[in-house]
Amino acid sequence: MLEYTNKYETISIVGMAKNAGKTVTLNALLDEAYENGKKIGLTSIGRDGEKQDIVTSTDKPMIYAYEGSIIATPETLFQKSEARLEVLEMTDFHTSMGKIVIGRVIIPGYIQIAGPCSNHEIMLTTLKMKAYGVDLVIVDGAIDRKTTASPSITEATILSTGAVLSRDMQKAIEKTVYQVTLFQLKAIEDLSIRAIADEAIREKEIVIIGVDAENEHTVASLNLKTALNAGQKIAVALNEDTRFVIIPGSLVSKTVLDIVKTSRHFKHTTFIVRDATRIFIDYKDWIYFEKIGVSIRVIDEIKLIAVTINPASPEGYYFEPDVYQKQLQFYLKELPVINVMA
Amino acid sequence: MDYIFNKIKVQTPFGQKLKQNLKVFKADDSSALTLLFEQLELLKNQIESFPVTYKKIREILSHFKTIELTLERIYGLETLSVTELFEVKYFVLHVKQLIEHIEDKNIDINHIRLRSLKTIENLLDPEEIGISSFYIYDGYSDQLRLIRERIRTLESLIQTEKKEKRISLSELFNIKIRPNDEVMVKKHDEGLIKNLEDHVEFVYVSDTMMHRSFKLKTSEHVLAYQKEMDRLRSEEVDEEYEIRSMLTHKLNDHLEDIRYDIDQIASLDLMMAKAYFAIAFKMTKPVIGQGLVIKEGVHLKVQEHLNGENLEFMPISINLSKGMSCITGANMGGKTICLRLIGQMQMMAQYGLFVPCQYFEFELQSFIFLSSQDAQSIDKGLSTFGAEMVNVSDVLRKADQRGLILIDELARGTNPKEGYAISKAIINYLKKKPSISVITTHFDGLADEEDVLHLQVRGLSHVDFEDLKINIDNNTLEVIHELMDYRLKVIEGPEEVPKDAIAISKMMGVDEKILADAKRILENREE
Repeated sequence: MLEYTNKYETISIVGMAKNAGKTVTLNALLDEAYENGKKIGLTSIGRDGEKQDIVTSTDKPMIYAYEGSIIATPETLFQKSEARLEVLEMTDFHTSMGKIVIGRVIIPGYIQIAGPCSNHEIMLTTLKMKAYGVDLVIVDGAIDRKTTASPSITEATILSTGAVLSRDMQKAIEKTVYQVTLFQLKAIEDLSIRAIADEAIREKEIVIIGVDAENEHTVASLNLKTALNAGQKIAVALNEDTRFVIIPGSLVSKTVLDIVKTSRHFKHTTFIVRDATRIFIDYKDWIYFEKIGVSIRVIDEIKLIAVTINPASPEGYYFEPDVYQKQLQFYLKELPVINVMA
Repeated sequence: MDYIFNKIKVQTPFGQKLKQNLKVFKADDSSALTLLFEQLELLKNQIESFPVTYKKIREILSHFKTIELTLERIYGLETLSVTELFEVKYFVLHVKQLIEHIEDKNIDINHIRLRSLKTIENLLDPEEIGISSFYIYDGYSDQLRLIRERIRTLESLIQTEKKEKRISLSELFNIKIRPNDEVMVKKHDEGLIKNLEDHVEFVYVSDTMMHRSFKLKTSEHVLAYQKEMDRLRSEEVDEEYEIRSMLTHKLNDHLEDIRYDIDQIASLDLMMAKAYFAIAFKMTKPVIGQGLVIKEGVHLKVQEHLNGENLEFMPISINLSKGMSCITGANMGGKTICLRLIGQMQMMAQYGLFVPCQYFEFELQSFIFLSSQDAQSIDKGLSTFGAEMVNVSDVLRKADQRGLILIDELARGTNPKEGYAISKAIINYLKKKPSISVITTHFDGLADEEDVLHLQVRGLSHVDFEDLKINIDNNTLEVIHELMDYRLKVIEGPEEVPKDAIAISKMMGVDEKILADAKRILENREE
């Protein structure tokens, strides 16, 4: 699996749900890295610090850290680690478990990691770790915190999925394929549109781009604070010349639903968001939107490099590993699907 | 003054604390204040002569972080954690940087002397590695070193043995055993299943529909190693704890040095911040002398606001002595700002700061009073006038102590006849007192006394309103500002206050017809 990460300096591992095998994937990557002599930097997003999954009461696997790896984790977890770490730096990033400490593993052993809370701080943490000379930084995404995949934090992403998504293998596969489709949304290439979108998102403004008689772009900003609950207002602002609508924050099902209900003009309009992690549209709505011709694109593409599967669910059922892997691989085509339990 | 303090940029949390506790100098502190001013001037000159050197000091200062909690724990002899020890080391190394830089450049800043914390540095770097990271180094205890060596050896042995076993058994059965010693086999491969079930090294784990999982047994002596490992790790934790306790105790002996250095750094930080502030706004050293003299002074906040609109602040000069002074002048002539400027300048000087003017001479006052429109008093049920009188009555009682009394538009909130009378009475009272008092007013005749200094804003007196073509739109304020002469002139003998109110109202956009009527009424009254 490590070979897929060769081109990148920072990657994230995002789980579709708890017990999707994310930590097993992580440990597998760490093992491989150690055997290949690669130094790893490791951190996490959010407050994933419970040793036992409180919800499903399974033993949360801890992470085995090898000698020489650089770890960023809050003070209290730093103190509790079995591995012995040298303190390199105390950051000013605060979490509920103390400030984030950056340390180097001197004596290997098990550790728990949690990370800074904001995307910006995680990005800064990865920079700091790179400065200490690691070959690859891995950011462990907490459960369902898909924002870890945001291209603003890491260069590439591994998605972890598994039987835990549904008792029905078909449904589990469908949901995974959907998530991959989202992550693989293409970026807008036109430079002028990108420039307008960039600024709109930075200024947190909803912007409508149309074309006029001379085929020049017209740009209009809607005076709305957020796209949430703004579906109707946006729809009203659309006309036959509209080509793009830029949504600065999150795009949720309700907004799109309101737009398509109120106006026909969505059919020739493309919605633009910063990246796929800002889209909160569930699977069924997505199918419907695709059918009626809603077009969504992003500014920053997510580079998905592999999908890992865990065929077993903590509730006791499991999928046939070979069947599961082959079917999912069929739908995901070029994207490697790896069974981390095999 | 909050605005002023926000402009004094300290770099360290210690400097910040010192700044927050900054006190004014009182009337009997003049020698201390004089000394402070001299030191500040010296520092200011130094910074201007050697900007790069001092910039470096600022940069080093910016790295200091608060270690207050850690110090308290050291004091209470509570064993510090590794991260806390790191923070102490970090502090010590930055003190070292500061000392080295100061010595290197041969600087002497106001007799600030930092104590070397080399002993602590050695304590936290027993192997003399010289890096800023911290670890419970092997060098602290032979016991520790031995334990760790053994842990490493064992870990290596365990990993190697397990790996060898995995590889050999994988090859033997042509299967792939994972790093966690587990393997999944297809059930229809009955031969293989039987082999594994019969083989002594494999134990059954679980079944799925089509697969069976097995796990490699851990050999006896690997088990023994693991048991020893657990024991050793536990011993190591204990030994580390002992070392951390030892370090905490030793640090306790040096607490006084650390606190001393923190105080010195705080002073240095604050002094430098004040000096940079003075340089940034081209401020001068106040002179402790007689009365209150300002030459070409500005009000910083107003100036900043004006500069933001591409306008300039016209500097004001004023010369006051004890007793009474009166400022009269056109509306919008900056009388209130003038008063505020005087108050601000006095405050800044008494806080030990340089002041934004070309020359400032002052006396240390025991109080400064500035009347202001207080919205809260109005909420409490006091009228503008009522609230003002409450405050004024207070200050009148204090006027025998030497203070600075600044009252804006005394008694404006009531009928002009009584307002005039009350004002005149207050003026008569204050003019004999040792305090320096200044009031602004629109009333004719208040300033006419011989022993009252009458100052007037020159205002728009030089402007010909008939000729003036005025744009009544957003630029009105700008136009007024550009035409207004804010400087003060001394008036000898009785003189009426300037009467530009109607002209100003016109510029502000009041209906011409109404103003024409006002003019007519004014002329009738004067007849």
